[in-house]
Amino acid sequence: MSLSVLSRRSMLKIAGGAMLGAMLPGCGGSGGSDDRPALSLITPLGGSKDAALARLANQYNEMQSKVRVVVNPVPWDQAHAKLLTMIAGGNPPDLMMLSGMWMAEFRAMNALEDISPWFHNWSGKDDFAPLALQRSRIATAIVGDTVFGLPFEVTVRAMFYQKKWLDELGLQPADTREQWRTLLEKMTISDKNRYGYALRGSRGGFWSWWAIAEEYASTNEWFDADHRCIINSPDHVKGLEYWNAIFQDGLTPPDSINWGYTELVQGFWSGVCGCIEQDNEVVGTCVEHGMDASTLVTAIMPAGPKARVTSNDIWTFAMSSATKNKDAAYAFFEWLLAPEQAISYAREVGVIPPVKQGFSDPELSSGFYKPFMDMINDPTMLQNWYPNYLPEMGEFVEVMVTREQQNMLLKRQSPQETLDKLADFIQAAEKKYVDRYGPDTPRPPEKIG
Amino acid sequence: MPRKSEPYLLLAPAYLLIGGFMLYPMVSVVLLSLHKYQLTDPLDRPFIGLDNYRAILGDAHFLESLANSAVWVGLSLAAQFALGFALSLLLNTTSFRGKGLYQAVIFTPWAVSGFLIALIWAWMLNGEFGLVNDLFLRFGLIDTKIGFLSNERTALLSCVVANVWFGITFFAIMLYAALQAIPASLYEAADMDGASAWQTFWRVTVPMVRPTITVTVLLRAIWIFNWADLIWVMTKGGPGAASQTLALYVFQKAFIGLDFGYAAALGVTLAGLSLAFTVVWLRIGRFHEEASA
Amino acid sequence: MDKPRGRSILIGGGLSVFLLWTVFPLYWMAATSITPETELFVWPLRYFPSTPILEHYADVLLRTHIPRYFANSLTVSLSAAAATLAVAIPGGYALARYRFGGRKPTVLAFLATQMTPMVVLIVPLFIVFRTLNLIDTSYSLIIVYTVLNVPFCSMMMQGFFAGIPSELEEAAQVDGGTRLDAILRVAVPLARSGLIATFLFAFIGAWNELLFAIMFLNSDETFTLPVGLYTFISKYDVHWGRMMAGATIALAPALAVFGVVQRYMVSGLVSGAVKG
Repeated sequence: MSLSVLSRRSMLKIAGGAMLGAMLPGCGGSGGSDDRPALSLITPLGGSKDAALARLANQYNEMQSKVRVVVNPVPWDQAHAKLLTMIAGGNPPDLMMLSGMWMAEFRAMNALEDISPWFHNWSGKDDFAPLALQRSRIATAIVGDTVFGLPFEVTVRAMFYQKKWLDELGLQPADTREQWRTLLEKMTISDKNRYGYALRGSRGGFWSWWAIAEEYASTNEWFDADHRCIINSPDHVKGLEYWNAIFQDGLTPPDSINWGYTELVQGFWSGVCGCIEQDNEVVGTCVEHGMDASTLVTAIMPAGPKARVTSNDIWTFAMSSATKNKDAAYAFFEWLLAPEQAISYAREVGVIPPVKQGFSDPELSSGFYKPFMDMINDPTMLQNWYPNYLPEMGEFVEVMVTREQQNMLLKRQSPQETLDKLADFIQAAEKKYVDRYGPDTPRPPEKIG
Repeated sequence: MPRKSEPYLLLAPAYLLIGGFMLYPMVSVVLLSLHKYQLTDPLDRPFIGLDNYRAILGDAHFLESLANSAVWVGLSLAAQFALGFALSLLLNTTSFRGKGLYQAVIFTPWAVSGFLIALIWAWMLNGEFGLVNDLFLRFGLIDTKIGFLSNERTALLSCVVANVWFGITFFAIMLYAALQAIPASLYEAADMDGASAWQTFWRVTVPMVRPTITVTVLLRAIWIFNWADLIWVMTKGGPGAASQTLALYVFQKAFIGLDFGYAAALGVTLAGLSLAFTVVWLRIGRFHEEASA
Repeated sequence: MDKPRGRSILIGGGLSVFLLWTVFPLYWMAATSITPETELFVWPLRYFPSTPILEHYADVLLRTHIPRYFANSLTVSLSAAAATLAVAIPGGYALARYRFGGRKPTVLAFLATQMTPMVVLIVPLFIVFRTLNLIDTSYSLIIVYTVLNVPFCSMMMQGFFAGIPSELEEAAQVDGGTRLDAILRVAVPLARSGLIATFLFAFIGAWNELLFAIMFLNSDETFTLPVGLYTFISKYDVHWGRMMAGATIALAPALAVFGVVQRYMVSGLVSGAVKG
């Protein structure tokens, strides 16, 4: 008796499926008849940035014949999870773009290649702007002499205002937080569906209120000399109270408790909110959605009672420790991170390139971009800092802070209680780190640059 | 006489496929749950026995998520089952021109991807520009706009509504078919006995569809329990932890907290809860007895 | 007579409410796809754009890779559904027609595969497919969708076969045919509508799946439709117009197929609704 358990019909179905499968475009992801070894680059940034990187990759592929750079975009929302899966699953990409926040995690996972030997012999290393390198050190992309990642983009925060609303009120962008608060109050007309501010109540809200806390405390330290966490000091609490008050006093839409990056930017260009603080790349988004010099004005961040804080960060390029094409990757880095490419990319997408020439580039310092450039070139500003060397920072910022700040906005706990809980968490994380690596933890630089 | 090996041979492709691809992952998840595995500490993976599970019992966030999951599954399931059943009964009792087209439209929600459902409903429930707010205001049901997703009491409910929109379709399709399978003779007999509509419903209709109800409710319950991406896209579990379910908590622990060992233990716990529910439910539905009849 | 009249009004009312409730979000999706972005955030709300545009569709069809993703989704979903059927037919038949010791454990095992959250299975499954060198290929999705669909679809097929009287198959065997013949020539044709129903469930499940598609695919050429649509959510922008246009496009084939096939589907389920 035949032991074939597959009916004829089923076999036809499988054969059909297999045939369809064989016709599948890009079944092996090879895309074309190019025989060169591939260098894969994962990019999570979306939109114009993916396109800019693809353009650069094409340019590079045409310039040389040794290797083919393949740019693989990944949906932003799952980019972090996807990179983790690839690394934990043993199939990492050759090159990755990592945010300053992710660096410490990926290093701890042993996922990144130590590119120090190459870096120290590379002539291009002197092109980097001091701020970019400083930020790289904060992100632990560069620790002492070891280099794991190099900056490619510098982002910095400034205030965006609805110019029309300001003109109607006959006011100017605020210089101090006191003035700013008054401005928000004046701009809020809830009957007209107008609110002064777009609060980031959900993920990433930390970046907003932490800067304010630093302004009130006039320090960017998180620990004292004995590694005790000090972020719940009375001054810090005052800063958080200031931010909380904006929500409680109705200067931002009630829905903003759930707002992340996307929603708050949307809240601004859709004409609901009068003001947001955001990165330079958001200028491009606003312009895309129809804002121009008559409706948009940007300004430097207002100063708190004790300090003016600049919030900046970087996106880095890193190489996977498992890549098989190290030499090709180095060659690509040398080209990609050269000032010419960095500046052309920056101009295209509206970020600041990490090179010295970029910081004084006329095109990048004009119009809406001027306040951003002013802020990163001003040595008197307090540099925003967080203990990026702690592997728990990711969970801290994404999950823990989000939850606690929302509980505070919901009036379930006070700002003091919120900061107490956060301080406890960070305290425990710091203790773990110190127990393992010793008391010599990275300390924040006071000024930028 | 059928040979003893025949059923196993017929099931062999299924066994091979599931065994080949699911066995290793499921076993590895169970094993992983007995180890400490922090992604940021990849070389340190000691066996810690049931420590992860002990930690779960004392984890306030776990208990909170579990409570939310209970509401999430309970409400969603009850609503979509009741409404889906009602729809199927309606479809069963009528016949009209264009019924085919009607059915095609009414079954469409099943074809929409989870994250799209979340996006559309999130936008409809938006506190500033939302359709629902507009309609409620126009019909005088509310005075001021409600932030459905930003209010801790309505956040999870909003997700339930989106879930129900999707899930009614499943029950409607399956139960409609089950209803159509009831032989007309049974209804005729009940009619001749002088049974009222209500009695007919309980004595003829329900028993005949009970096996279908048992299976569909079970599967849908398990699927809803494990469903994270609808809530993730709608509220990210917020505000606070108001809409954080267990499935979402597992995702957070794995891909944000980077604690794969703990996440594995949570996953096993989740599966264990589903299993317990299955055993109890099948007993209630007298599933296996029916099957062997 | 008043009674049947009142009853039909009630039924008609009920059906209308369900229709409205189902259609409204879909209408909103379609309306957004033809609304210029400047009109998206207005209050008071507009239920139809003052200047409908086809720009988003042009964008999506000409300036993104959505058409390619659409083709990928089509081939992946069709293949997965076909493969699922190939496995679920004999499996369902076995569960329906035989009393055997492994029956209960098999059903429990099938259910067990649905119980573990996908999130924790992702990495080990990734490792499996990496070992087989299938990462970044459409084959990985076809296989994983089949594996995930087989349990429920087998139970569906079990129901359909159980609804067909077994005498016909026995008759075929008495005439000298093998069991296999009985399945192929008698049972399967009779359960044809059930086949279609199962095929459709498997197809839709594969068509909509997002998580594995994101995790297993790297190259743009292999992306399926859900992934493509998901990329319209970038770091700080949701391209509503494009996303809804893409979503409407994604829905069109499902609607068309439903329209044609639902008749078979329901009657198929009818002939042996999932009884277990």
